[in-house]
Amino acid sequence: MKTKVKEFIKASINNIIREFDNVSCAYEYDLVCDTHYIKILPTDFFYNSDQLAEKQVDIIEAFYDAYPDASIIFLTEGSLIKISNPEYVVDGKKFAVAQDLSWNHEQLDKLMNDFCPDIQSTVSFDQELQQVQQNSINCSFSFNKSSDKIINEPLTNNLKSSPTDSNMPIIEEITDDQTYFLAA
Amino acid sequence: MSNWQIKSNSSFEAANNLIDHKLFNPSIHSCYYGCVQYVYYIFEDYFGHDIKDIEGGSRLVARNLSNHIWLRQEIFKSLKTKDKKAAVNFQNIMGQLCNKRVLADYHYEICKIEDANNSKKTAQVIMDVLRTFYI
Repeated sequence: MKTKVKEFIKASINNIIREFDNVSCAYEYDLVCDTHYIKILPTDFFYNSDQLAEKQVDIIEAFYDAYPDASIIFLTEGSLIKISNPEYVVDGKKFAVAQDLSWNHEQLDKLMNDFCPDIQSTVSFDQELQQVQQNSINCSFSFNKSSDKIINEPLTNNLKSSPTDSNMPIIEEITDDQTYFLAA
Repeated sequence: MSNWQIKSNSSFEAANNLIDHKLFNPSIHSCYYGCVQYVYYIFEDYFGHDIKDIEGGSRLVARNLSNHIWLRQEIFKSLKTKDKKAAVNFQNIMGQLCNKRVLADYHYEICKIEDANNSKKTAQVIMDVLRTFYI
């Protein structure tokens, strides 16, 4: 009996994910309360989506028709009941991408915060600058406003050259996103 | 005022007093039964059922069906004809409070003030839904 109920729940979760690829579903059965929990993320979508509410109504109705003496409850992050050991978890495609992006930003922030340049270098800044000035720079990255593409082209002048030289690509205003990209 | 309403109000008053006295486990019990008693009032006043109908209702559906799950199912069926979002909200949070009460009464873990306050808030949301649709 419990196996059939679990199959029903898993099929329902797959059905939810097919319709809402921006959500994540996790299923856990609570033996103490004899209840089947389905946790849905994101929380805002769980509380605000009319379509998801309608989908829940359909699933709850079908569940009670098939298993009238069993209990099913949908919940989300911050609900009164927490689930800790889900046996079936499915992430929609868009949810997975959003999580991945969020993870990347977190990792990037961490990298930036942890970044600690070697300020105890034996070579002084003036010495380094002098060295750089002696060796002309081979290339530079800049943005071409007309194409928004990164141009990688050799510079004919060294650092002493004026940035306004006509043969040098003009560095346009860099947006936060672009700066972020360069930092990455 | 119906006796079920009086009992419901008393349960919520008891819940508040129990929280004030740091008796968090039984406060969750009182919050849940305050909601159940109000559902009894709705069954009596809105649907015209007496206590025998209510207590026998679950057995008409399934031998092993808990009376409280049956009450929840019946309110869910009624609410979904009025407002689907309210129906799922009621079904989900009433179910959670029901299970929190089971954990508070029968589970080894001791409930904390956060559990008690969250249960009280959940009970308030349930009562808001019921009072909105069953005046």
